[in-house]
Amino acid sequence: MKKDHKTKLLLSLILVGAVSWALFAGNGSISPGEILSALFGYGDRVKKVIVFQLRIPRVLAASAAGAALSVSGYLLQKDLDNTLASPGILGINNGAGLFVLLYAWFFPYRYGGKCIAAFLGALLVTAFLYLLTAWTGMSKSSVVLSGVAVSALCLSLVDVIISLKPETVADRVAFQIGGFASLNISSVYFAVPLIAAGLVFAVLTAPSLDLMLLGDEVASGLGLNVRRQRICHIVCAAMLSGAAVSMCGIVGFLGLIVPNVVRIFHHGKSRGGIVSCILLGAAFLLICDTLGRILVFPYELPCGLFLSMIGAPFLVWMLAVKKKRLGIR
Amino acid sequence: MIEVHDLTIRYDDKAVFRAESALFEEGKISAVIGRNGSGKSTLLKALSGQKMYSGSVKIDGKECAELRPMERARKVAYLPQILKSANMDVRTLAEHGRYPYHGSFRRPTEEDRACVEKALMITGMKALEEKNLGQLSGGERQRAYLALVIAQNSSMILLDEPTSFLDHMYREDFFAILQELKKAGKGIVMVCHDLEQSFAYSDRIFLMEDGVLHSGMTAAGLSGEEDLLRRNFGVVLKPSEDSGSLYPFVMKR
Amino acid sequence: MKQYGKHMRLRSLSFAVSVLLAVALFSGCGSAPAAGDGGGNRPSSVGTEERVIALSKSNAELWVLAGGSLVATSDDAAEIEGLNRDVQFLGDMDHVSLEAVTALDPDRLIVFSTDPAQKALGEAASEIGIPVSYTNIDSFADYEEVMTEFTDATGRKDLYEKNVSEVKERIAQVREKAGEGGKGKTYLLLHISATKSKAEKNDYFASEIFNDLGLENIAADESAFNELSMEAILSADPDYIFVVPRGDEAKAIAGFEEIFVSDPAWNTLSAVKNGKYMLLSKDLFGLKPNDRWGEAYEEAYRLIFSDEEGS
Repeated sequence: MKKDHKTKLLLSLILVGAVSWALFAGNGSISPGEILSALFGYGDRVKKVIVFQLRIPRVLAASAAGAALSVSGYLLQKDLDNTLASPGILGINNGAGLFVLLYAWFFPYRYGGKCIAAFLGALLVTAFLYLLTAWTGMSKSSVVLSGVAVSALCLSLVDVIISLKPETVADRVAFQIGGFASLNISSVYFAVPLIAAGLVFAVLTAPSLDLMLLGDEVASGLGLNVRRQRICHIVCAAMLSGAAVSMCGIVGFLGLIVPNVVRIFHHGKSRGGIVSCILLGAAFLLICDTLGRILVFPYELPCGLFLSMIGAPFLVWMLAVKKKRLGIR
Repeated sequence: MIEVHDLTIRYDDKAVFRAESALFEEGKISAVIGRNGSGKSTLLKALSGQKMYSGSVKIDGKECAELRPMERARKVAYLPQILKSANMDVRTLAEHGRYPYHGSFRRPTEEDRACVEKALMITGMKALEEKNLGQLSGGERQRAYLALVIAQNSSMILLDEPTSFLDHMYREDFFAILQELKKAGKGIVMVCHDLEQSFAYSDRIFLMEDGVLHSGMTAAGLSGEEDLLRRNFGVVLKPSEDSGSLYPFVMKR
Repeated sequence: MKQYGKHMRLRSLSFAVSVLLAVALFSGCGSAPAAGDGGGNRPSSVGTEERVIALSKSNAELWVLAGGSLVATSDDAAEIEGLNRDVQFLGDMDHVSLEAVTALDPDRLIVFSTDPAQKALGEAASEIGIPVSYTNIDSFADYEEVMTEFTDATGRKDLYEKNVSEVKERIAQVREKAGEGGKGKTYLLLHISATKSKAEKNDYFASEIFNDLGLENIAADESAFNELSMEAILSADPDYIFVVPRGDEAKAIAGFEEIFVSDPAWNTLSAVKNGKYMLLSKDLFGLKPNDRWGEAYEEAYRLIFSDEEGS
């Protein structure tokens, strides 16, 4: 217990550090001192615009998306009882991305619906996989493989749309790897409250995840409506990753890495696990984004690049070394 | 107390289970015996509200299907036969037994803590409370899960073949715990394969035959049903030499 | 109990951080739009504009032609004449940082409306109150329209005269000279690069020049030319084949020759046999010629009618 709280404290500090770094990291156009004075309402208009309308929304977007994708992965892993499940691998992110593009195709310039479109895409893929598992009773690895297939399908459709209608996406590479360079502030206003709601829901209903770990029969014996809870969580996971994708494109691997790292140091209840996921996920994506923003200024590297560089070896390591412990059959 | 009247459970439009009337009381251990596939597990699921049924199952006078799940879980605890080894420690597992009282949203109270403590003491799992479920032996895991249902503090406890994976000594320990619960006024309903132990420890025996539940009898009462016993289990009842109580004796074919 | 108290402190601390984060999330969304309203789309009054950023060479050129000065532009505009000495370069035209743009506090940002990356940057910039002008020049008429807007902003009517009206006059002269001379002739305009060659349809500005001179574009609405193939070229057998290189000129030509010119069938084309397979200048027909639009017409006229005049 005690160790658990210390970890959370440490994670909180890391997040606070990442937020400050993202906020203050210099790039020549504005100095940390100027940012600080702008934060307190001093300094000229331009600096304030940079801080309040560029830096802060971006910090918000990156941390919210990081938290959302991580918690989405956590929920899916618990719900499908599979540590390989993540919104990236199961194709949920790609589904959301596909719908974002479809939406941009049919309703250009209306950012409000982008978030809802992403949610629908994510939900469609998730529902498909859930029903597939429920009906066929397929094994854990088959579910992941079907997810990979769905993922590839969505991605190829994404390619088709981008080839036919290049104007639907600002930066093809940034959209497919995931990044905040062409972040649209309107989409932040829509996605961030949705993510906040999803995170609150996940934290509040976390105890039911623990019950479901004991098997459906024990859980329902304890008075839990297992089916309803599971569907709620899956919808929540879809909403979280959809909202994230509507802001930053298809960021992969985060939903896989963070929950599994949390699993390494956190053995307690799910609520703590989710809080850890929020803190670590937000900090992680924020750090990746800040790195991408300042490394080659004035160019930007999409943050998904760093995630893929870390994530792909991580996945291989998980499959190879941790096979037994993770219970992959 | 659970009262059953004209209970029918269907599966794919086929009646798989019928019971005219049965009464499972508090302060008693009731054993449900019968051959594989006779519907014993189905009965427990219906009694704990996990299976649709027609007829009536009354828990403390209220119809089971009409109780809200959490309210039902405060009255009836249920433990299935297969218990999963989850990645959590024993204390956390036992704490889940208090879910019907605080749900997802409220914090555990002193009472919750006390119940968990008591359950760990009764099952002897206090010493192992920090161990992960994966590190436990089969018997220890069984007792850990028993701590979960004891923490649930319901008046009725339903156990589906709680001893089938235990060796003889573990079974004796396990039944000793059940005796203690019985003394504390809990009503226990268990599906049991071990006829000897069913006869030795239970107050009422319910025999299931081809989806029909024969109402509960004492061991002595069953001595008149020799045909039934022989048909289903190939046993006869004989008085034991030391206590004089009846116990099943396997007949050679 | 002491132990327990410590738990509670740590627990409430991490709880407090989560609450702070949640509050930050919510307040962030609440306050940001309010700050954005101030910037709005400020009306640009004549002569007052000073701080302009134009991304891409073509846009920078348009603004300079309208007599404006630039505080910053993208790297590809470096060779334009008439840039002020202290102009800043913001990197690749498709990867300009919005923060770098904002830091310069521009009164106007000029971007392409057809380039997805620039369009997105423009939208994000206008959201935070930077006035944005979008350009999309496919024809001389588009050029005329943009220049009207820009010279209005700079107040340089004289430059409109020089860079638009006079050019228009030259074009009219060329068209008059051409008359009906080109009627009935067909052409194929190819944009070639080292890896891919493409037949241009009538939405390309250079096609418009040739059409104006009376020629007919065989790729105009022929879907067979979506994927350029030797077969399609052979069956259409145009009177003229114009080739505009893209990127590295030598590599583009080498790539094109390897795929098409080396094909024995190539020499059976009438355009090739009659010496009407012509390389066009990248400056006039590859990039929008802007003030040299008249020159482009004159060059096109020369290419089409030169040997007829000579013979």
